[in-house]
Amino acid sequence: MARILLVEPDVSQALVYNRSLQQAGHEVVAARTAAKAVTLLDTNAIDVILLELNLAVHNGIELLYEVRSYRDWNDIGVIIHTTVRPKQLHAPALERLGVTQVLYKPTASLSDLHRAVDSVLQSVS
Amino acid sequence: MMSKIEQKDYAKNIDAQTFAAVVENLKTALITVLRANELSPQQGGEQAIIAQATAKSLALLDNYLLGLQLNNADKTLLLQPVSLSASLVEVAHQLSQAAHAEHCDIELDVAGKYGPVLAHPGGLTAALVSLGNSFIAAHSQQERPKRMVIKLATYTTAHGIRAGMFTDIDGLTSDTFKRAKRLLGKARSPLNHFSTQEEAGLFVADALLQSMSSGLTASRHHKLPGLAATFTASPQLELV
Repeated sequence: MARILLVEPDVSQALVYNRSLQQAGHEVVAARTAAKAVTLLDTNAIDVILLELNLAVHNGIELLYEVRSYRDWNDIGVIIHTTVRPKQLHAPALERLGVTQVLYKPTASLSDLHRAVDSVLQSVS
Repeated sequence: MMSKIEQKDYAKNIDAQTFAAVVENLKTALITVLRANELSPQQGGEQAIIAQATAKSLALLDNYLLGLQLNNADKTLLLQPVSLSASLVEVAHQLSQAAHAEHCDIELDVAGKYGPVLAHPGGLTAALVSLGNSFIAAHSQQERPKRMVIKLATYTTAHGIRAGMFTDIDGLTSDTFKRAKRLLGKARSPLNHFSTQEEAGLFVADALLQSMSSGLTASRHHKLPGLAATFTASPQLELV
């Protein structure tokens, strides 16, 4: 269905989300850091980025700025899937960075995640 | 060279930071358990039990971290004018599903014109939801033949505007609540109908409310016992 870049620093969580997305028919490539994510974007045709903001060294917002600085990557859909509280995020700034879905991990179920992915894929296509 | 008081503050901050880091790690682990549980159906209904226990613990840790953040932050940056009545309406909405599942009714008593108070909107809602969930869970452990009512009320007192939750539950007095706070983590609590987790919910709510009010105290409203926090209305906010 889609190729998803999963940017998730926690190995166990990455395994769970990876499995869940693959069961839904998507192809998943995973990165634990922003640097690795950029490398994978360079070498794979990614449709959607599923992004945790709390990353080591460079955080998810910095990664987003870098991604949006490349014209070729401007159309990639982005879902923020994070432990950062939604009220701590500046929604207008995220919109300007092309983020259309924000999920708060403690309360967003796997079904919510799949719905968000489907919604972003529809808007991107 | 740090003075003894500075050294003590520094050590306290390091302890708080270490604890916050541990709590964040626990949150991460619980999120993994919750989502892995969704992926792997258990036999015999354990999936629902794991989901409920994990979600409750996650909410407790989340609220605790928020309380830590509020209590350590510069409050002048975080507090805003908040309508207590509107907050209670929002809290009632958030509690409605859990209350319905445990055969409790949520009633609102927010009529009357109350001025805004300075509070952290997210913290206030989190505190009252945490309090409400503890009350609902305490009800589920009592043997009562009829549906129980949990009343969310706001009213004025000589000390300010009070907002809280009230219900027909035994043993919730000023004395037992104060003793429970002193005994927390050390010995069996005198709050009979609250298990360890529900009790933690009460004290997390108390910690959240300490940053913006007097904290929780045992109180009575229309003959119902309960817990409430008292806020000071700001005359300046009323003028705005």
